[in-house]
Amino acid sequence: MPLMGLDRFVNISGSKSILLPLLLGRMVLLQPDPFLNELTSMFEKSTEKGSVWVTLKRSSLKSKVQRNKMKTTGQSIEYRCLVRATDGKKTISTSVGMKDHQRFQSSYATILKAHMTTLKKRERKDKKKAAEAEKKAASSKKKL
Amino acid sequence: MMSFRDRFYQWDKTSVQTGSPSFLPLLHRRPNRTAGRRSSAIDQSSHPYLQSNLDRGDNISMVYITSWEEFVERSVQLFRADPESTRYCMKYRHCDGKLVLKVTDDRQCLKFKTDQAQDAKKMEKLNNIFFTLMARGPDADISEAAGKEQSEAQPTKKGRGRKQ
Repeated sequence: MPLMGLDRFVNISGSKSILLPLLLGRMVLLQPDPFLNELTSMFEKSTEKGSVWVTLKRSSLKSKVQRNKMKTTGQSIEYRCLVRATDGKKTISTSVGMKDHQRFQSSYATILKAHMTTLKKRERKDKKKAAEAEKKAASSKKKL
Repeated sequence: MMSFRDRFYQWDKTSVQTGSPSFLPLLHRRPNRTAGRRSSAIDQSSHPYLQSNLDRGDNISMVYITSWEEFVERSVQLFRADPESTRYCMKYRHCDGKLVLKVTDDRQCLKFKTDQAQDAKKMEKLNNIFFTLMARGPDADISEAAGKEQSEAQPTKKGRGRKQ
């Protein structure tokens, strides 16, 4: 995919060779599956401190100049969904088109479900359970 | 970081659309900074300057929305109005158990923050909506993404045939 003038900032690569561009602080453009793997590792690394940001944006991945040229010649511009993820240190990205977006979104949803575990559950149902758990913890502490 | 004067004059240029007077952004500046830190307890409609983003299209104030349905509706509206520049961001902090969603077109900004697990489930639907909109186009039919669970639930109820 030609990236006019943006080659300095983006490295297109497979999953193995992302170390060097990451060290150089560049955005790494991956295929959807390696991206999901990297995203999983980002979530796993930032459990004790740090955040994970994920951004979705519609993009054709072409520069303004290219887009204007395509408009004047009457070519249709193919848009994709650009997904970026960062943990504050490194940034990874992927683009998802019409054909593979449903498969991607279900894998993505699975990853989020698996890692967003510290959000609070509904209090109403768990109040009794929490009270019981506290009693048990208190009694076990006394025994020790 | 731009100086105060630069920000003021830049804002001045962008306020041509709605014809709003240039001094208003100055008054908006303080509420903008605190709105992000405090919870969304500020009533938007009553305060003269903390108006809804939709009323003042050139406003760049951060707005935390309390209602999920309102957030979804407004963010889809925002995207459809400008699909080229609208982005949907999510930030998750495992250590604090906080989730923040942001939809912005670099002119208006809509945010939603939560620490509830049920909102994560709602967010999944919104993710599906945005994936569909962004991959297929702003005119794509999102009723599939939004109403999928509803259509799955109804047939099972009918199939039981018990007294209601």
